[in-house]
Formats: sequence, C-alpha cells, structure tokens
Amino acid sequence: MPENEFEKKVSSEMQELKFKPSEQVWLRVEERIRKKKKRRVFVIIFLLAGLALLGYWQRSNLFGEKKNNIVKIVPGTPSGEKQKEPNPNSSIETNSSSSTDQNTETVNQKKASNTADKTINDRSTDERSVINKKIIADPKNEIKKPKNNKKNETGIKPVSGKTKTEQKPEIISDVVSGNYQKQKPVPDDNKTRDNSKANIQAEVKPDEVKQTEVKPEETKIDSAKTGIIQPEKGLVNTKDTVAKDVLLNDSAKVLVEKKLSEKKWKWGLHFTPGISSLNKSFSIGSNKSFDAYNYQSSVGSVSGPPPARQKPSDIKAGFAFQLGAFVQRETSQRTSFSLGLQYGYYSNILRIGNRRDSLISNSQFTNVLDDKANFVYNAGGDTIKYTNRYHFIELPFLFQWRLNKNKAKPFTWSTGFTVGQLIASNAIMYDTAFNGIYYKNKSQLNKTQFSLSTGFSWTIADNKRVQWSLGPIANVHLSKLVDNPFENKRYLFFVGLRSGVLFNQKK
Amino acid sequence: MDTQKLVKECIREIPAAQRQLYDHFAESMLGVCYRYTKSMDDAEDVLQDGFVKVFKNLGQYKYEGELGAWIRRIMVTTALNFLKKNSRYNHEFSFDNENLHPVAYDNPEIKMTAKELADLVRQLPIGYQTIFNLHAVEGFSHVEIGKMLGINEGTSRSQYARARALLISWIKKNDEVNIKTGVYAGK
Repeated sequence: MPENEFEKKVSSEMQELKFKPSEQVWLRVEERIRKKKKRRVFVIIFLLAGLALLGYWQRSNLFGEKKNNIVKIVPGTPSGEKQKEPNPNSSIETNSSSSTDQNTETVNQKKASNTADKTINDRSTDERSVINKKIIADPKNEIKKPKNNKKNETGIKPVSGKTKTEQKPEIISDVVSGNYQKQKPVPDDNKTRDNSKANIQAEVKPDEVKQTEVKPEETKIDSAKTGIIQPEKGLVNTKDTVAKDVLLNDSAKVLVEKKLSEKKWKWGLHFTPGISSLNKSFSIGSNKSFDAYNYQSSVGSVSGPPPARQKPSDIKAGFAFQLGAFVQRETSQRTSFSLGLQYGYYSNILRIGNRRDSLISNSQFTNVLDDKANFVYNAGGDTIKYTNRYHFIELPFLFQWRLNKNKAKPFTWSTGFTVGQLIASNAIMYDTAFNGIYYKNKSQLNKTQFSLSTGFSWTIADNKRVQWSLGPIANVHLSKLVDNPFENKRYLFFVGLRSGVLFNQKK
Repeated sequence: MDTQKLVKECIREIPAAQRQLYDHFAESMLGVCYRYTKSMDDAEDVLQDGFVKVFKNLGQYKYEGELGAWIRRIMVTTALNFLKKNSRYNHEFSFDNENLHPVAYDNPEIKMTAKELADLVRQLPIGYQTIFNLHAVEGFSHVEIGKMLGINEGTSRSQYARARALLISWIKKNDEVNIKTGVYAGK
C-alpha cells in the first residue's frame, strides 16, 4: 500500500463528515452580521464620550488656575459686596480688575461714569451673606449669591446588551467515541443501547470498565507524548461503548450546563486606589472659570485701609480609594454588566490659616456654626494643611464592552453610574464671614450623590478560577457635594487604577 | 446554485441569500469544525465565528477556486484561532521541538464510519489532533503547518508521526475487538 494511502482514506472519509447545526447558530450569525455597523457607531460614540469626559476633567482640575488669596474690600461700599459677573473674556476682566486696583476711586464713584459698574450696583439686590441666610443682620458681610449654578448635566443611559439565547448542541450519536472522557469521569449508569454494541457489553469485565472510566486524560497525553503507541483500552474497546454513550449524553448535558453557567452571575472584588478632588461645575459650556465673588487685589490700595478678605483655598487632590464587591453577568459575547457594593474614601487637601476658635463664642457667629463645630480656621495664611475626608457607601452599575477579540484576555471599556450615600465627613467649608474663615458645616454637604463612571481594564491573568484585571477608571459626580455659595468647586471627582479579581464559577 | 449570483447578493446583504449560503455549507463546515474541537458546543462556536467572517469578507472572494474550499479555509483558520485563544485548549496547544519521530508506513484498512474516525482523531491530544487534521485531511504540507502554527517544520513532522502511529494503533485495536465480537461478521 502506498505510504500516503492512509491519509487519502482518512481524507476521503472526513469529507463526508456532516452535522446539522442547531438553529441558534444561524440566529447568532444573523444577529452579528446585522448589528455590526450599529455596534461600530455605538462604540465610537461611547469612546468619544469617555474621552471627552476624561479630557474635560483633566483640563479643569489638573491644570486649574491659581489665584491670589488675599483680597481687600473696597472702601465706601458695604463689605463683602459682590462684584460683577465674570466676563466671558477673562483677559479683559483681568485687565479691568487690575486697573481698578490702581485706581483709588470707589465703586460708587465709578458708578457715575462707568456703565459697567452700574450693573454691579443693580445686581447688589441679590447680595446676601451667611449671616443674612441665618437671619442675622450684618451688612458688612452682605454678599451676592453666585448666579452660575446652571448645569447642563446630562444623564447617560447605560446601554444594556441583549441576552443571547442559549445554544443547544445537537449531537448525532450513532457511534460514540470516548471523546468526552476528557471532560468528565464516566458516570456509572445503567443505561443500555439497543444496537449491536449492547451485546458487546456482556463480555466486558466490570473492573476493566472501571479502569477505563476513571483513567485521567493526563495519562493519555503522556503516553502519547512519550511515543508509547499503546492505546488506552477504553478508547477503542467496545466494552465501554455503552458507558461512553451514556457519557456522551451526560457530557452533552454537562456542556449545556457549562455553557449556561458561563452566562450566570459571576462575582468579584476590586480595589481602586487613586486621587480625588473637588471640581467646578461638570456642565460643559457654562462659565469657564468663576469665583463666587470677585475678590479685589490688595495691591495698590492707598486711600484708607480696606479690610482684607481671604479667598477660599485652592483645593488639591488627595488620596482616595474604592473597595468593594460586585456581581457580573454577560449579556452577549462582548458585553456584560455589573452591580456592586463598595466603600469609597475620598479626600482633598486645603491650605488654610491658623485657628480662630475665639469666634465660636462670638454671639454673631453662633447661629452660623453647626452645633457640633468646635473649631474655626482663618481662610488665608497657608499654614495648615487640612484634609477633607469623605466616606461613602456606593452602588455602582457598570456596563462593560469588550473591545478586542481575545476572549481569554479581554480589553474592556466600562461605563455606568454610581449612587452613593455619604456616611461621614470631616469637611470644612469656606465662609466670607469674619473676612474669610473655614469651619465645619455638614448641612452644606449633599449626602446622596450620583456619579458617572468610565474606564478601561485589561485582563492581566486568567486561569480557571480567577480572572485578574487592571485599568484606569474615572468618576465624575453629577450632584453637588458641597452646597456652599462661597465656593465654586463643589463636584467630587475621582480617578484611580482599578484592580479587580473575578471568580469563575467552574464546576 | 449560481455561486456568483449568490455571492453578489450576499455582498449586498440580502438576508435570503445569506441564509441560502449558510444552509448550503453549514453542515459540511460543522464537520470541519467538529474535527478541530473537542465538543459540539465549541464546534458550533467556531462555525458561528467562521460564518461571520465569511459574510464579512465575502467581497474578497475572487471566484478563482470553489467557494466551498474558500469557506473551508476560513473555518480552519477560525478553528486554529479558537484553539489558540480559548483557555480550555491553549494550555495544551503548545508544541515542543521534539526529535524527529520516524514515520511508520503502516496503512491499516479503515472499516469505520466518518464519525467514528473523527471521534478517534478527536481523542488525540489537541496538538496531535490539529496537526493530523491539517496534514492528513486538509492536505497542508509540514512547511505550511509550521507557518500556520508558528512551529518548526520538524516539529510538525514529528507530531504528525506520533499522532498517526497512535491513531493507527487505535484503529487496529478497534478492528481486533470488532472481529472478536463479530461486529464485522454481523454486518
């Protein structure tokens, strides 16, 4: 017989090998070829949205502008009077401000000649102070409410993928091989077949069947690799054909169950260290940069000593982390969503002045402070580094989209929203009273927070039981964390490196 | 079936044509996928991925060879990618540079059905199974297999020789049992 006769025979036999696929296969093929274009558009939109979000955050926080801390109240006007609204053209605004500093004229004097300044006085009806807010008359601290509270926040709907119907394998089992031995040990079942192989079973010794059944696959591979051309008894021996048949049926069930289990909930843990800070309004297109009050520079003041007012401290990012558990469920081959419960610790750093605890006993101030407030700091001075800490319990809902084709090591983009509840905080708030102070005022904290999340993750290790992933994630809060009219940075944001472990439920 | 017309209609994404193309080739292509995998579920996954690729790349078909052969080639490539990427297979899907194993030119008579034979092949370790399928069934040379799998030509030869020897021994054993039990006599 020619040397390749065997190959020819095998090849010709194999050409006849046909199986009818289950209808699910076509349905899934059809779904994928129909949705391909639609998916691309979604991916692009979400990627752009994610990038825009990150870009906006980076621009407004990492490279935020710094301003002079010390300001003086213009003589001749009630102290704490609010200046005009910030000019969209910031350079012009700066110039006019500096020229005003060099000029000793009061605002009232300007009023007569300058129409722009007239606007300031027109708007003075909106002014208020903390003391006014607390129904305590103190005209010196009368300050106008900030007007730029408009938000263009848009809620982003999480995309939910369709859950695919399970595939039902259709196995033609006229003659059964021991193929499925690899998947599971052979169950000892009493099922019989009605074909000729049933007769063979009678000749099989039970102990031999057992031996075949429990033989692990590793042995098979080893013997193959070492070149020992000794087929396992169970592989071709008809005595275990019936057992194999039973095994096939069971294996098919197992495979179906396995397939189903892949679609079930998986759970995992994550730890996300990072940084957090307070941001200006999240809305894009609103005022670019404004202070609640236009503080005048003390430089160049000559006529009369105007009282100095300290601006709010610049807020620096502080350490933050999220730690929690989540459950995840696949909605399609590429998409999944997860729900979680996590603890979030966020902080930001202020540079403030010395303590002025004497103010606590000030009769004008008692109505301003919280009952539990036991300290007050000067706003200016830059002598103390104070860390505002926020402790949250959060419920994140994330939608994940696998961007690559590698199922074993997916690269996913996730986006979603988080609902959080503030459980504790030591945050201090700025107030213009007494020329600028910081004190604890929990009533200005919004305890329920909604935030948007986006991030990427790479699966760095994947074995049968666990899947490790790593990637950056960013959270931008949509709700104001600090409802303080004297501060313009009120929205919490967080960026971190998420390391997660997902437990595979393999049976 | 007018292949050219069907392909053009599929390129224009006419659903009926796409279904017709699928129906025409699905059964034989599932046979191909079945030979490269260890379970029917996996075979169907490969078939699904393969047909998505077929419909996506149908514009590249030049009508030079048979459409069936072109689709078959896509299925084989998809199956190889599946084996490399799937965690259930990729642990075993590695090839050591072994010494050349002498090829035994033993050519036993095959008295089994296509499915029985395919099931025997599928019991080979995944590396042997893949190389045996690529060489004996698809007809790729060892040089081509080496390039496809990123291994040496010698490794491919060696693995094939081992796979072949193992398979032949199983076939013989099967025949002996069948003769003893009178399966052939009863036919």
